[in-house]
Amino acid sequence: MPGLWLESIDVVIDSGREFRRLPAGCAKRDGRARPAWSPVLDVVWGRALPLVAGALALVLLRYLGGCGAHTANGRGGRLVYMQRGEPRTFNPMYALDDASHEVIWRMHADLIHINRETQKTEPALAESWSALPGGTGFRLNLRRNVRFSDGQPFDADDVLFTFQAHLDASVNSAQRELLLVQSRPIQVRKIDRYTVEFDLGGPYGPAERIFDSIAILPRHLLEHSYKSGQLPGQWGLATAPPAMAGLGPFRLKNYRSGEGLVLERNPYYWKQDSKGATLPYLNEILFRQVGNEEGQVLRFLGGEGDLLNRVSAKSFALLENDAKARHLDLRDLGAGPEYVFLFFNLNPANSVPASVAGKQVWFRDARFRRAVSLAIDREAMVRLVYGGRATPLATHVTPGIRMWTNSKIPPPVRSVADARKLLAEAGFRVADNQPLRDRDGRAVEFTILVSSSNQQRAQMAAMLQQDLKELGINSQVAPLERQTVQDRVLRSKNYEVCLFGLAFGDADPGSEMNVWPSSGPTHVWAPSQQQPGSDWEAEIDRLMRQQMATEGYGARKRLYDQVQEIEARETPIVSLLSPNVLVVARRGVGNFRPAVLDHYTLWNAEELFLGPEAGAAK
Amino acid sequence: MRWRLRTGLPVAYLVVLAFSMVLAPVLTMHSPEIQYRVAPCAAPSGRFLLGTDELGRDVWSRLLYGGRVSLGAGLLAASLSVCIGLLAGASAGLSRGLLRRLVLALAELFLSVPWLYLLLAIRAFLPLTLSPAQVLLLLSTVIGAAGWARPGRLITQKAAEVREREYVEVAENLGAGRWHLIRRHLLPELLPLALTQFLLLLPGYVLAEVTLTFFGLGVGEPAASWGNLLAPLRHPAVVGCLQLASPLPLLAALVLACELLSGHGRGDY
Repeated sequence: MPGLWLESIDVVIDSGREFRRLPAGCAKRDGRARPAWSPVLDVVWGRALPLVAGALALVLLRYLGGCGAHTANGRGGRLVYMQRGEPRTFNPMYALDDASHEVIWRMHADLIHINRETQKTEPALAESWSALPGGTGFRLNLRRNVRFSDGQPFDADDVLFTFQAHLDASVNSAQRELLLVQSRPIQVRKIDRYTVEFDLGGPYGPAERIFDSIAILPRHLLEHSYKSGQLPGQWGLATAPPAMAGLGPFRLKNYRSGEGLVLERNPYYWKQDSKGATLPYLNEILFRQVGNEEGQVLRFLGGEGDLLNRVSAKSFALLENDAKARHLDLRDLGAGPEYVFLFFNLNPANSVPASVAGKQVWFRDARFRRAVSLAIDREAMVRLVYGGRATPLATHVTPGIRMWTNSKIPPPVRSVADARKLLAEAGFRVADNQPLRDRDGRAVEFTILVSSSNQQRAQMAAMLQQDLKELGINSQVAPLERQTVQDRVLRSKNYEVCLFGLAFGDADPGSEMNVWPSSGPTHVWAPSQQQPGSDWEAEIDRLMRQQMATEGYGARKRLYDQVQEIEARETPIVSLLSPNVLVVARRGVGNFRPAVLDHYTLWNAEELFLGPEAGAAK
Repeated sequence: MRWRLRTGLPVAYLVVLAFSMVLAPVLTMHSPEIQYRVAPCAAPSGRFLLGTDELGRDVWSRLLYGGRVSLGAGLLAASLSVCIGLLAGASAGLSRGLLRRLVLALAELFLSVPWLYLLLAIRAFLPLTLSPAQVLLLLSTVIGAAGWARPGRLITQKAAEVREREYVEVAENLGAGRWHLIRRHLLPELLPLALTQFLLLLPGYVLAEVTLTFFGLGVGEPAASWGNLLAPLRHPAVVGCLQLASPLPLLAALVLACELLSGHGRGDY
């Protein structure tokens, strides 16, 4: 998935601690997974080593044997999920909003899936796969005896139909771009009823991750609409449940706008638990929509829901106060895929207003950008704005994208003295308690664009102002409506500096291809360039393209590390922090193993169950 | 005693409020924008009279300086509304024909304008580099210009009623000009109504500025305004920073004072 806009979300963290899934009966303290009865161990430790060794062995056995998904003691029940908005469609080809995705991905399945917990691929509808000779594609072996939620069988024709529809430019699928490799659509070929070949046209770095989040559609229900050009109108919110079918763990039972949406168990679901029992465990999931986070939190405290996705640090603190009394299970998962950053308008001078072009002389100097970065007190932002539940960033790769962080890049350290030195080197006139002036004697001042609907950003902007004042830079904050901010950054390019947020769509640099190459539509500081605007941008372009065409994690990692090194040196964006992923469940929700990638608490919905404690907790 | 309660107390409150805002630099020890980051959400103390906000800024300073912005916006907007209303209403009241119908139709039109969206649209098209003072002026102008219709309609009706009185007709028949009629006969009758409208609009416009800023559409951070002070309270978690609610009693007292002074409660108009 491409990098996502992050203007309405602000969330979760755990300062890069290792997060491991815990079985019921395990507690998480001091950042380490320990059994709930470990205090007993502490006492025993001082008295009898053999006993301690025996107990440790027991713990190890328990951990190794039982920290995966638990099988449910009791099936059934309805889980209530608090959702922040109403879904806009049930059609996976056109879903763009979070609410629609949250529902759709409980009803559909993909061929190869990225496990949100391990961030690695695992078999889904394709039970195995192999690379084609030369690494130019994949041969996928599909599961047999799989049925859609309406009972119809699934086979290679459904796969063929799905990819044909996605790749047809006239269909305007929201996911079509993801299926273009080097701007060419991938080729799909049916070998037999349960074997399909995908030709990617050459080596492709993200490899089989390309299949994640491409929902396999039922040919028997949608082919007619596709042929008659009616596909975009299919599976809207008014569609009757029997007219839809998927290969996911649940199917639509009913939806009434304003009242909620109910998914029921798919009786034909293909996945089984470790004991061979069919999944899902739950009978139903009720998606209850509450328009804003404050309302969600209050209703959750009132006992209305079982799961709450991605709350802010403030809400988390509020829920933490009541966690014991209200039997809440709060998890701080650490840095997520989001990064909040500051960037300067580096668009070509002829494409920006004259007033902005005059200031670009400063912005284009990497020493100026680095000086601004050095002057920012990220630690204070983390502490005051996010209550400590965020991680300061040196580059855009957050600790949440743990496989791709460049550990050689030091963490950001604030130094106003170093910032002043850099500015002096760059020819600026630096003096105590005086405005910063450039070579021509012009006072350095600019306006920071920020979304008015995001309170954390507004606070961060206020802190930036004070930090920049220490360099003698006078800055103003312009809070504008979110859409206007995006419009100014990507279209009119009428802004000077902007405080912004983006998120990795997947734990892979492939998801950043719309951001880092100079031709990327979300290359925020100068979007959709015909030619790279500088040598270092050209080098980033080369490295990003090369990592996309390189096989093997190690080789790709080395290339992506170089991108991050250029980023640290040139500072096209001043990475500030990554908010922690904070989630909440009512105690008694079994197999609650939230992940830092979407959809956080729901990614393993088929494994969730309601234990006896869940009812009592409400 | 009754006069003191209905007029003396509200006037005294408004005077004290106005002086506090004007004398803010003298009455405060800290700049409203300086962040003492080691003391966020500090409780009231000798150093910080009303404590600090989430970024460690002095709430007392922000209350007084913020009052300048919020009250200033209200005063400017209410003055604008009443002036436009008076001008349009008096002219329309004197006229028996097209002008009166035109003004009344315009008033209807303005009453139906969704000024919040209008403000959003205007802000999006304006240059980014607007100082808090310019934003304040913009807010006041839009709120004031959009709000002239209510006083305008009332004043038109009153002016039309006065226009029909015998002594006005006699004056007109004796050759009195339009300006003479307005100055000598209409204004003395219209001014109390205009003042009442001003007092009724003032708290509403202060609240409008506070609401817009509360939702991030008014004067932006770090400039202080009552809306900026109250904004963090939209989240139920801000229980440890109750000093942020300090503008609320001042706002409530302002509404009450204006209500008492306007005579609205006594049914004068």
